Amino acid sequence: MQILVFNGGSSSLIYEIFDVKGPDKFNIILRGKAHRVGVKGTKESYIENNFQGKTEKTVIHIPDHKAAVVLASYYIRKYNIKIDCIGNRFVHGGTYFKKSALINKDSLKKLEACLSLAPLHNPISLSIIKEAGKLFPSVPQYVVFDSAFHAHIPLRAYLYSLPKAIRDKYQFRKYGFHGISYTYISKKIPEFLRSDPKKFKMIACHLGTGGASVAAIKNGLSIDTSMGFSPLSGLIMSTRSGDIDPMLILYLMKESGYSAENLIELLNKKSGLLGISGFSSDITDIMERISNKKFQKRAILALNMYLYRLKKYIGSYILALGGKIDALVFTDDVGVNNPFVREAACKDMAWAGIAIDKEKNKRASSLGISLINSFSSKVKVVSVPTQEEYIICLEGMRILEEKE
Amino acid sequence: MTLLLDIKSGLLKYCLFEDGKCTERKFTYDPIEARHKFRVINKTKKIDTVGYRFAHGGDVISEAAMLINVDTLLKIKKANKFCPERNTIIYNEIKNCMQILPDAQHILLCDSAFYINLPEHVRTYALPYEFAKRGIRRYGRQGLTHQWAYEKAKKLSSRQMHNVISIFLDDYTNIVAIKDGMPLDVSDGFAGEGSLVSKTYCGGIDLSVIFQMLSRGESVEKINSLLAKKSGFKAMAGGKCGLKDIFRRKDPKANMAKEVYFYNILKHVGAYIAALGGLDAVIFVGEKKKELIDLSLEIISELSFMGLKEKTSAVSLKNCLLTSKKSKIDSYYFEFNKWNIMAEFI
Repeated sequence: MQILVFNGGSSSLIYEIFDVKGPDKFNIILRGKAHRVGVKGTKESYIENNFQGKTEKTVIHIPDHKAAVVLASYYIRKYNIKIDCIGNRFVHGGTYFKKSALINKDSLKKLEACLSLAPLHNPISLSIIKEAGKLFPSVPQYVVFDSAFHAHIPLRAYLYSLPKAIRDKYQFRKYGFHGISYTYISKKIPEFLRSDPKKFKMIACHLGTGGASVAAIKNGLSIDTSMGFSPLSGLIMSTRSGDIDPMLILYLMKESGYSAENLIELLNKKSGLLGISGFSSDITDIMERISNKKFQKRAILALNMYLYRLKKYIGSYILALGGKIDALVFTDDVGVNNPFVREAACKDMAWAGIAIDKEKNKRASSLGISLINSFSSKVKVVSVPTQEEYIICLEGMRILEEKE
Repeated sequence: MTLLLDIKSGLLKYCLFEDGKCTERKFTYDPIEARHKFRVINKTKKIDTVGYRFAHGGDVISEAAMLINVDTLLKIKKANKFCPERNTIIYNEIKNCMQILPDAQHILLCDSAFYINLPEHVRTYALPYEFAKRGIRRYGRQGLTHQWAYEKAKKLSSRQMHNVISIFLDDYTNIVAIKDGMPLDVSDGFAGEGSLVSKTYCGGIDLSVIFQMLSRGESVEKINSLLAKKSGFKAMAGGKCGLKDIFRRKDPKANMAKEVYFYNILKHVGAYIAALGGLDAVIFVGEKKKELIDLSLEIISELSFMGLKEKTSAVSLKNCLLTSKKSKIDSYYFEFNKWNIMAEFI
């Protein structure tokens, strides 16, 4: 089966066509990424395509995500690739979607209702789905949600203690994200460790170069996660602040005259590692400049804050999981490429039975799964690249089977 | 005789402290009435010391107990901005009392001083660094209480006390991680309210919640009052919803509040154990109420994986110990009495 997957970012569109032959057996036929979609500025937008190992780059005006989908369909037809179904990533499914769904009139209506929940992400995804529907009218489409994996977290973890009328009106609660990645982790890790997935407690740290989160996973189900109603809360991220007491934000509006727009921009785009360091949103970059006197002080502060917050979340979730966990997992770009972050997160964690093997940790490949705990560690520590596209494909196969 | 003063929501509470006994009185603050009252008291029994509770000294006041003189009075004036509605009254009352009780020594007892040296990576918010330069940072409440509790536990314990967690069980609970006697982290934030759910405050929530409400036309004032005054136990349990009340009540709404609060505490404790890199003692400070002692025991039982064993026999608050002899880590419960704690700093 050949599945086309769309993954729209705020100013990019990734599209990939998978040839799926069975579980764990797939290869990518064509992949491409449109850059600077809808960005007004001096630099031009362009699309890159990789077909049979060859990459070509075309500079072209891409005013919005619809135009990017049109471009993708042009290449798909140019290379004469057959599409059996189209999978879409959707960040925030609200309370409407607890699992992946086929696109039809009913689900489209619900997706419309989800738009305001993630104003920076959801409208883009919906515009992609609609455009793909026009360009490939006979191909079935489905959506996979980042929030769905956390749909069953218990009340004690999801409830915001606001008046019920307000909670209901705005659908306020913790939703959580990176669920596609966590779905993969929760399948892959028990399998790798030859453990019973039904009796398995783990903490997974999805540390991306942009967003990052932690999830407490018990017997395959999420019981808590660091992102909340939106992807803004939890860990300190590249440009997002993560947790901040809400009263401070209201204070800034009252006392310093910040507007809501200012603050949304500030907290999402100018805070986190970038805000603290003052020079970079990239943790590797920050680590490299620690030896440079000019940047040293704030580089160290940014790094310490990032690691401290991560460690606190791991500690929280150890207690949330009842004290004893089976595995601590690191994934996504920073999670697999940065041994220093993993080592720091595991430092002084003997109280939880966590001990890392420094050498194994340094040697861990960023391309495959590695066990990096020391021999005496009660908890298995694992570094593993995530495979979100694979999960999106699997979901597609499952949904199409259900349909038949 | 010692006179202790504290102000809350326009109410001046005072306590006359003599030979370990205290009598509490309160009245709606009025400078002339205060002058009159304290003069009368001083006539019957000489006041030799006055202690003033100061909640928030910002980055200006760095001592838990500070002798007030002309120089330090200027400092206090500078610190008024951190909590204007309370600090200004205390400041005026200090000047008042220094006039009518010129022979007494006047001592400022400041809660935030305990937290002044929170490590930079803990006190700083992950906002653009300019905010930190402007003094936007994390402070803490009840510093006197936690410092007192830590010292007390240290005296009682024969074990090492490097990594300690101190929990103040109250309608507005807060939790502190203490490393070698100094606070490492605290659940409060910039202005007092932090990440813990409480009687009327929502605790740590996603900031986008605020922006969603603003985008539909709610005002900042309304949201402020919603989050700080109408949320927390009040939103979940309704009715009589102090900490003791929700743990006394058995109805589903109160149970929900209990569950959320308990989990909130649990997550903070876990975070602080990780931050400290281990745990040597857990201290609870609260009223002498069965509900709160039971709650403490329940928290301890969640730490059994670390070797904490709660007492199986009835807990006596005489020796303050919640854990059994076999427990690898000690836990204490100290009865909270604001005035006694203040008096110990004098």
